[in-house]
Amino acid sequence: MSDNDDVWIVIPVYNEAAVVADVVNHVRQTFPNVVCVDDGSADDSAARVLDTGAHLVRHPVNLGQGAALETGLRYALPREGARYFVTFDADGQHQVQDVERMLDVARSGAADVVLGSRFLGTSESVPLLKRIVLRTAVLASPTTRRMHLTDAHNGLRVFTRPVVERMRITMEGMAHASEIISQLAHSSWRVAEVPVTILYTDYSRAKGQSLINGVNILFDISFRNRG
Amino acid sequence: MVIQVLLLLSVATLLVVFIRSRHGVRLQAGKRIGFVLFLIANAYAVLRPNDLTWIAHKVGVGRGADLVLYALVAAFTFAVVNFYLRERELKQRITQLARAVALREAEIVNRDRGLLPQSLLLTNAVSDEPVASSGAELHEAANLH
Repeated sequence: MSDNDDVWIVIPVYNEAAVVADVVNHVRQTFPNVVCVDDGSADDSAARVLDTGAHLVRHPVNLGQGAALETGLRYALPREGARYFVTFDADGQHQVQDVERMLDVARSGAADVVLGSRFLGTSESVPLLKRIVLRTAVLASPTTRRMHLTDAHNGLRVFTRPVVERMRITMEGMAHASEIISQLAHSSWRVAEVPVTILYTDYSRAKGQSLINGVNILFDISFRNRG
Repeated sequence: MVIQVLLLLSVATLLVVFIRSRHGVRLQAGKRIGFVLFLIANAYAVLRPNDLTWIAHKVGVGRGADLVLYALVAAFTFAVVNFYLRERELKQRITQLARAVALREAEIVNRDRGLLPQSLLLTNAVSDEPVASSGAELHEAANLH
């Protein structure tokens, strides 16, 4: 357990009261340092987090998932001994074992950033329509093609300390995934992909973002950092 | 036709100018001058509709009213883009403000829960105020200046 004292797990939470405590408790069996960013939830997600041993940061108003990730990273960065930062979803679709394998890659010094990919391994669990759209998103983006990435919108990521010190997530909404990739592409950081398994439960399916939201993401991204 | 080239050019230049450059004093002044010119042109068009029709014919539009409509479309597009960019900037400021509040509060909450060491608040980068642990010293320092 003490092996992972240098790891901080950042979990953005928005209306996840039903599952967040279980997810956090499960993660904390392996990783003691967890920070949950409650993004102005309307339900009692924050109270559920307070029952666990996780750190809690509460946005006074709903700002979006990208903003929650950035807040969590800013909270974790000044903590003593923090060297690795992991973004993790609150709905229970990510696996702790995957995080451990990604950390192995980061600790080996082979990469500064390790991204989870649904498509490197077996992608059977990904619903067909979603698979097609995500694959198209990867092929359509020159950045992900150049970086040889297979999955541009995976919420499971491991960052090393120098990366978090330099990176800034400014897209408040769901466009942050593309923004992160783009910042990585314009840097000299070494990026690695590790196959991960995403559990598409009924709960995560109901909570997951709809594909039509991709239109909004495209629009936000095209006006990024301008004006 | 001349009008088509003019309209497409105006939309393209507006987009490039306002999306590429950041908000500066110059740009803001430019926008305001443009707005005043637009109003004057409209007033003139109302007073001298025949002149407007003459210009319209020159650029290949049938009626002066149609020319006004086209100009309106261009101005409207510009206004929408402008407001969108403004709104985004405002949103980012709100985010920064809310984040600062959230981090500050979390520091206190999680310390009370025993998750953070007591001294962390004093050394943490989140609190950028001078720590009032030694008020007398601060007071003294202020008097020296």
